[in-house]
Amino acid sequence: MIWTRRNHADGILQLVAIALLSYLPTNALAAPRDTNEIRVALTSDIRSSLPGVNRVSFTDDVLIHVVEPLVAHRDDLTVAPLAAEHVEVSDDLTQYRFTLREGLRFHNGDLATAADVVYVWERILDPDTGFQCLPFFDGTTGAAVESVLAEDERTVLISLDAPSAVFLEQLAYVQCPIAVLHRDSWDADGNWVQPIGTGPYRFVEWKTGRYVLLQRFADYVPSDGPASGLVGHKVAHVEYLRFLVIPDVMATVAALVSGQIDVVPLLAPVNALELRRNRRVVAMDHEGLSRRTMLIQTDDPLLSDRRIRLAMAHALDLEQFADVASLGLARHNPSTIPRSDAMHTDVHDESWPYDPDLAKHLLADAGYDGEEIVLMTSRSEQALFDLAMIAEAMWAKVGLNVRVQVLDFGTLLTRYFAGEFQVVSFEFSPRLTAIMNMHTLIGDKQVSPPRWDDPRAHALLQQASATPDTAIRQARLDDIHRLMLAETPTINVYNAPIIDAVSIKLDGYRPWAGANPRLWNVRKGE
Amino acid sequence: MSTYFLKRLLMIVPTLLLVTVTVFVVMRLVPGDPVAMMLGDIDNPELVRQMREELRLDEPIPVQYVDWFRRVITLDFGESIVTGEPVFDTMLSRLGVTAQVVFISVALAAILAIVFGTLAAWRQNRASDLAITMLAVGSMSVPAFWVGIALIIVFGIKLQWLPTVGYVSPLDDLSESLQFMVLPVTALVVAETGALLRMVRSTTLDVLRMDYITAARARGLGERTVLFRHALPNTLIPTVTLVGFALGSLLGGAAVIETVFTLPGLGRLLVESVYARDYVMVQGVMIFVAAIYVIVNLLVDMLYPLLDPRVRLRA
Repeated sequence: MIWTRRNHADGILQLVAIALLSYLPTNALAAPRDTNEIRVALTSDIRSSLPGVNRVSFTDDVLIHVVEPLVAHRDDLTVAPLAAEHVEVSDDLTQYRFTLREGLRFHNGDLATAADVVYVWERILDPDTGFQCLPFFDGTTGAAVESVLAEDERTVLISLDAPSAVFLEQLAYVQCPIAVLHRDSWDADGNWVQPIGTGPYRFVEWKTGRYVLLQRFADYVPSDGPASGLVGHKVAHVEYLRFLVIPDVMATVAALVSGQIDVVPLLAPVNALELRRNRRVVAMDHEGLSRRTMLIQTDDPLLSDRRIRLAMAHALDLEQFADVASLGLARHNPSTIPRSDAMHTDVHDESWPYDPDLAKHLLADAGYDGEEIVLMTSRSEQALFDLAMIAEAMWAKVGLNVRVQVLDFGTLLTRYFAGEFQVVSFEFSPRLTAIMNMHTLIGDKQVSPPRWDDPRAHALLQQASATPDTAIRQARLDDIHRLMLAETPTINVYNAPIIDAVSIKLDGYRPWAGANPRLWNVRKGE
Repeated sequence: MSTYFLKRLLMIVPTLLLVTVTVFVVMRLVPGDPVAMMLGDIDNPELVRQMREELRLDEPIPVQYVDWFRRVITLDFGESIVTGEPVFDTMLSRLGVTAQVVFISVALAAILAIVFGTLAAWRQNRASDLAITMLAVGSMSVPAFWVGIALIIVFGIKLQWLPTVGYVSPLDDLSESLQFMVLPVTALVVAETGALLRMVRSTTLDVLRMDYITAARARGLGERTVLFRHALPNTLIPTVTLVGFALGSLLGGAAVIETVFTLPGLGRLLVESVYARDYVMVQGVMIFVAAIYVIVNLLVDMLYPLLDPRVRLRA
């Protein structure tokens, strides 16, 4: 064949045609039908695979499948053994003895021992590790861990320097799990490699910006009892879990509808409502723990007047406010404690009655003369922006001169931590215990400028944290709620509903108050 | 030409120096603390202090700049504040993804623009010219992300022919990698072809009116020869310049398309790093992007004498 310019061009055209034809895939390529892999969308990448250090909520979503702390939360947010099979607490609440689950095995095949638990504790208590919840255990907030001892192969004794009724709850905190990890999770120089845990899935691969891949751990021995929260009988039915980083919501929804992913956790209500019309997808919702609130800076010259803060609360029709802001998916919760928590009693349903006349009267009484109040918000979370816009409109009706200031989330967060705000529409990430939720509200302004610094609240919280008596703790938490209603350092609106959208191919998936998607006990069909 | 090349290379140095100062200062003027962003609503002032100290964010800004700059001139861009990964390695791996999409897109857009732009000029004021011009205007009028979303809806959701999220490296699986590339490449081709095509068409029209074209026709040369041998080479210089701009800007700024199609490219890395206040990563990426832009344009300049022997590059 003579290679002329003409057949050169023809050849190129043929190559292009072949390339284009190879572009035309079958449906099988576009939407994996693999029943051995569940794909979960993450809106942002994890930052590290080390539990409790440099974490975001997506880190927790991945790691709950890989690592197990000694104790964890049930569906009703009470604490139960996980890596431990039994916990014995001394009468004076200073000694906690954990017996590890029989057959508890690391992903590399080694049996987990009490010495491994001690090894992890030594690392966690080292300030250089940067464990985010170290204040729970170094005496900064409550009792300090005095010693962690391996009594035998399966028994660990943790001693505290003072009684603590919340120690187990702090241990179970999903954001900072002190997991049972193999020492080979760190290299010889002490640098973190990747988690070798004891969970139903093992960590296989993290491709930065793309995905995290987990594989079923064949030797996992589940604990007894019904699956609940993060504890109980967990079985990995599907071989692989792939957590895909998809930052764009529209792309996420499109991928779910087209079958490229199977689970989208924590959808916004507006997206969930749209998906409810789709036959390939099920949107499930559950009452959540994230608290959406209007925080008021009680140190502000104008807002230090309790009457103005009260007027702001009475000017809001909070039931309607919550209904509109959540598109009907959540109810108003005036309490700092979410409804899913057993400590949320009827007392915590007491709220500020909607009374615009009383609000006007309080403002007049306080001598309010139209001074501008800046309400900070961000568009990064649409719900917070909506909250601000609705509040501004309701406040304007009683004569409050409120200006909404929209900031990017980084700026808002920095100003929040510095206490540089008058009012801010804010969301606290889930805290799984009543005491922890109260700590997001109450604190020393010298250390935490955004907190409510009231000696009466401090004393009540201290008593609630220290007492082993549940009834006394309940009474103190109820008192805090009443005091908060009277002082109004914040106006709690509602707890963000948890809405997970799931492919109809999944069987056994259930959202829960803790929000992290749980993929054990879930099967995937054709 | 070698002197010209060297001089242009040296001019990159003050450009990049200016970029380092500007980016460093601007990032620190933006409110928002990277440590606060990392900790979210976890209240741990001692950890905040410790992390700021470790990241040397507690030092005066000029000290931070000098320290960072000393490392950058040895190509040590530092580690990401957020993930702790080496910035240079991260940038290179992300550039690989972006380059894959951008080079294919710009090449296809250039080919389409040259073919149809020349055709439109040759068939000026006829139906084919009108149709091509309308399509070009349409391409220029719709943003790439809109095209991307439309492609996702049609080919991803309705027809389910192509994947819309994720990325597979061609080194891992070439066939699968191509499937993931089709939609983002198509979106960029649609967005980029319009401007290039308009440029080719108008330049070709100018060239076709020149005396030497009339002379060529008068010599009895066929229309195809006139068009491709005599007219086309003279239309290429402005087109190549525009292609250079497109390459430079897309290599550093295809963030929207990368976000819509979930491609882990350089543009998405930059946007995410800005939101996370990952100063070190943003500084590294900005210098990297500036260097790419300058080098691509330098290479385009170097092409001029090859395309048109009358052009001489002098220092």
